[in-house]
Amino acid sequence: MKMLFAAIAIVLCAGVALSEAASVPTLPTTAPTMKKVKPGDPCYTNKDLVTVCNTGESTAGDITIDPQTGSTTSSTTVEFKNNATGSVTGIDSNDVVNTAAGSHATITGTGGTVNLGPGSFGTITNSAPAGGGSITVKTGGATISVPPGSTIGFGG
Amino acid sequence: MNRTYLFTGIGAAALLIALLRAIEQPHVLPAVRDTPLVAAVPAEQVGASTSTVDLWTSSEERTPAAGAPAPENDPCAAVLEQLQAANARDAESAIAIATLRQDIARLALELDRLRFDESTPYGAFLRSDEALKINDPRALVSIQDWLRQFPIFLGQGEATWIAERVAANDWTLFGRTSEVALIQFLGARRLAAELPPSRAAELRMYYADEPGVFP
Repeated sequence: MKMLFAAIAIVLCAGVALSEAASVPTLPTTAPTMKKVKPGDPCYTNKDLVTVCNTGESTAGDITIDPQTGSTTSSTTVEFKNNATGSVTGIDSNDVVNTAAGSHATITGTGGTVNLGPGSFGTITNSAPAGGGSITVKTGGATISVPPGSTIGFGG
Repeated sequence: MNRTYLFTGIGAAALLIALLRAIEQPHVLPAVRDTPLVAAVPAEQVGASTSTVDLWTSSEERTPAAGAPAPENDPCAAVLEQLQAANARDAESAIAIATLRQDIARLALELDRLRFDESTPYGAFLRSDEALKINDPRALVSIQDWLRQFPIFLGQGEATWIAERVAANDWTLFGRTSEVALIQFLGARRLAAELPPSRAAELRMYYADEPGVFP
């Protein structure tokens, strides 16, 4: 008899657990760490000292910076949404900038990676002193290094 | 007495007519003609370096007729000739660029048809009649990028709408950003149903602070 009750209890518990699991919302419950910078918004600087300015007017798209707060050692990711126009300053070796089609990005920093999407435009300046690290630019399947003190422009 | 008044009147009328004719012909009154008559015009209408327009000088006087023999040692005529030649080259280049763009679009289309099979949204679009009509490489790149982010199968006319927005760059007429414009054009409900759940959740979170964009 005890065994029967135990079996029923186990089945009931499993059922409750399964129903709880099924009702778990798919949305993350934590607040987003990403900051959305809309056209016309003031420039935004996170604690990793990466600054994003969205200067887009006629070509409108958001720019996001993640994490929103971060720390001096954070890996910051900046995303230029389609048709966004703006600038990013202060990227270093562990930061990444991604651009989508139609966006125009002016990027300055001392290192990091820029993934220029197809149909986007970018001007990348490495402001590191001589002997510093390079900025890696990936575009159209090619990888290019921007050495300290150099500026390279990419279009279309 | 009456005759005196009549002759005086006729004389005065003749004098008035003569004076009016003289004013109509500028060479008779050079002092009047040489007085600069200028009007303030916004600089952007006439070029940044000029803010006044001489209303006396006719356009014929300012621009010699095409084919007219240029006076010898006239530096203006030589520069004008160079300008006309450059304009002609510019027009030819514009036609060449347009043709090359169409060629690039056609080749990009062919290349992408080999890369993407028709089970993918972009592959299916490439095999549609609309893809053949879009002769703009920028529009093709943009459609490919949108379908990377919104992997759904486009309906009739939807790719053409995107191509029109790319060409006119007028997204903001349809939404706060190009992405919002696209979401509203394609329909948030449809996107929520057809996009992968993770992508739909991502959009829902992104637009949580903008009610109505992606509920």
